[in-house]
Amino acid sequence: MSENVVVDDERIIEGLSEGQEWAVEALVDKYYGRIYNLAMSILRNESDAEEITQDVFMTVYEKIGSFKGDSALYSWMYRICVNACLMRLRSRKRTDAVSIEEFMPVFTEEGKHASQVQDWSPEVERRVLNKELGEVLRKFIGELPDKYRVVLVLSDVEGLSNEETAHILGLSIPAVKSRLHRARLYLRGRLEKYLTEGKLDS
Amino acid sequence: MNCRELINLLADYLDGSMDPELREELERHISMCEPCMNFLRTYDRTRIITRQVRIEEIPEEFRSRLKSFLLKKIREGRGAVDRYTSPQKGEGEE
Repeated sequence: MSENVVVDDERIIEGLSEGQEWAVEALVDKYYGRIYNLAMSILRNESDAEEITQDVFMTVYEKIGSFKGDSALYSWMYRICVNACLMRLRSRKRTDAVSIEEFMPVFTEEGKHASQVQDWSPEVERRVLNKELGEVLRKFIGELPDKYRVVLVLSDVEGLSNEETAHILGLSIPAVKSRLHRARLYLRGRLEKYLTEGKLDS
Repeated sequence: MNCRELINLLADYLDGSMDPELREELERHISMCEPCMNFLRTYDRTRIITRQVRIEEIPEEFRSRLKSFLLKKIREGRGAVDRYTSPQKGEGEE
């Protein structure tokens, strides 16, 4: 089968500009997993993620002529995907928005930790292959306000650099760093409560 | 550097973008401050474990469904264009 053959982006782009069907298939084979995963991480809903993935590929096909080539193809596709996801989120009524402040670390006036800080990282290590921990973490990520979640997903889930995340979202690097840090602090705080007190709710 | 300042620098510390002098100061603080050491460990572990949520099962049949959907759309679109540009024998006509 041809599905294991990964075609160069350049050839795919050329093929798409000529309207070649093999190029569409090659594009899907190469990127559908990444785009679906990204949409799924942001939207947390299978049918929405599928629909957005379809839209992303259709948009790439239709707009390939306007792809400048000054960034990687996947980075352009991520941008299309994130924008589509954000539009979808805006149309959804969110009732579960949380205040992330509650899970930020607290300090005394002199800037010292206001409460004890335990090291529960070995516990995470111990449960790393445990499905439940993954589920719990997905739930916590899903609770983040959108602007924090998209940054965390691109940076920590997808593993992109701050520069790439900033480029995709049209944000400054300091903005990306600050949102990423707060999103991590929130997850850290949530995990701490879950692992030390067994609490799943905020 | 106090604990609050240190916590705000953790991301820079972990991605290696911190200047060496500040790094040294941060490490000196951490070596003497157990809460910050524990915070660093749990912050870092959180960051690492987050990567794991990506490994989701992607429905394989979705790939073929996606391909059929796109090819159908493209053929329909092409048919419409062909009707305008080459009315005699368009590719899109079945």
